[in-house]
Amino acid sequence: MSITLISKEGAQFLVSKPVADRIGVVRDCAYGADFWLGYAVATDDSMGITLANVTSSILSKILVWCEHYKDMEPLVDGDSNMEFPEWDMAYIGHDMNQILFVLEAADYLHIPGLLLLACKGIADVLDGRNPRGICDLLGIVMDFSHRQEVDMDKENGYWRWFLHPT
Amino acid sequence: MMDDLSSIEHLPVELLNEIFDHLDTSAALSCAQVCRLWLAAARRVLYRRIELSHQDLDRSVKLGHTLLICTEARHSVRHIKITVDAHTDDVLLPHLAWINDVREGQIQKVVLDDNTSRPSLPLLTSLLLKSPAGRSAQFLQLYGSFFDDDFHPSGTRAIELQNLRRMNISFAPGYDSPSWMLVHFPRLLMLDIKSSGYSPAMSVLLRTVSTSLQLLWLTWRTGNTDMGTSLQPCDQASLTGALSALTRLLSLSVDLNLSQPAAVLDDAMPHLVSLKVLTCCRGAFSEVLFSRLPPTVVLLMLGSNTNDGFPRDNKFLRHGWIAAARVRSGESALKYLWYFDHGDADIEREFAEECQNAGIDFLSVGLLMDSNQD
Repeated sequence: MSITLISKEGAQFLVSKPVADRIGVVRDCAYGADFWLGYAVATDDSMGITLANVTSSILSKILVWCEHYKDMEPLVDGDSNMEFPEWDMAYIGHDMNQILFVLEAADYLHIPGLLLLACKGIADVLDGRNPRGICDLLGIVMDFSHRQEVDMDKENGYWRWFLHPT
Repeated sequence: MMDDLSSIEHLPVELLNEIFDHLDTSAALSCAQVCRLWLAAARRVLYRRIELSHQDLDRSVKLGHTLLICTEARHSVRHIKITVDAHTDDVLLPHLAWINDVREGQIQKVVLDDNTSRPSLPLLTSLLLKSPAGRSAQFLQLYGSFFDDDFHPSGTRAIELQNLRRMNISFAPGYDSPSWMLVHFPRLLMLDIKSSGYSPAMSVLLRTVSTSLQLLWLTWRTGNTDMGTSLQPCDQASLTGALSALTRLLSLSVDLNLSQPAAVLDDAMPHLVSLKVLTCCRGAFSEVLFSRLPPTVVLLMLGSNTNDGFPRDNKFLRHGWIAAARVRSGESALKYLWYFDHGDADIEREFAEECQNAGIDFLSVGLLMDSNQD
């Protein structure tokens, strides 16, 4: 059994059930209420699900992950100390722009494992950069008021000391 | 979706928080200086778990000061760990003033740790229990001695620990204070008591939690001496009485490392009407345990008493037949009986057969080792 997923641009992706099952909204949509009432799943080959917020390029990227994880459980819970498999880190890469789109799509499509990986990917890109570098990379404008900067200096006094005790 | 790189600025705060969960301290510090939104998210990471300790006094003093002057930082704290490494507990006190100024419900976990293994920190314990930090915590780890000096049965206000679900507490042996009567734990589910011997305050505490407690660990360790702890008859009676009040208890683990048998559990057994799992070491009960075991108990784990002074009885299991008989007659729900002691091999084998007939899964260290040798 397979399901057709339709991207924002209208491109069709034919995916098998185990792959589509990784995507929370597709799973809920395909089974619908019938699944919980215990009927047979009312899905046929011609069925299509439109994912209006996801572009073709991001959807095909996401389907690579779903394909990889169709038979195994991804990590769905973790913090700064956890290690991801090598495949995951290579998959998510260091392209901030792309990771952000993957993150937003994973959030929208309800894919907790991929959401976690995207968060880790972004954190890795941010790691080792100074505040100025982060602003330049992401085009963020520093918006601190003078008072807040003074407050933060006090805090940073502590943290600088924490990182480099003398 | 936008094709604009700055879309990170439009991320919902929840996603930003999830990203920041993966940052280490130095990266979080850089992110804190990016913009206002990021500062708030970074503070969540930087101050979520804070640790103050004697060994690291310089840092602790600076951290205490920062938390005192910066409200946002103070409001980001969720877990507090305080490590004491001296014989007095007042060195860190001046740097904990901020603890009285956190929001209700904000702190989830408070751990008081003592490297000197002298569990007597009345000032710190008192501060933590009375502050909004202690009052709102779901998990507390602390010491049994507190606010002895200002205790007045009529004048002192009761302390309500509304959110507390789990508490690990250490008592100094012999410690006696009615103070625990004034602390109420309406929702406490799990209690882990560690000590090197009996203290009357222990019984007082157990009585105050009797209406909610479901899991209890009671462990006495004597440190370097291996003669075990002794228990006076009057202390045994009051401990048994306190245990008898725990009618909602599902799991009880008792490891008292006694120097001579003191059947603490025998008389408490008939009162533990909800008990499902019982773990105990020889010495805390006598052979009547098998006949008084609450009918609800499914898993019974009997350990050995490992100290040198304790008299051994390697034929103890001969009393176990009554447990099997009770299961046969439908009077007891016992399903698993695990015996961690070196008993008489013949008796164990015979008992294993009896258990099999009664439908009890019997496991013993002795039989396991025998079967490995075959």
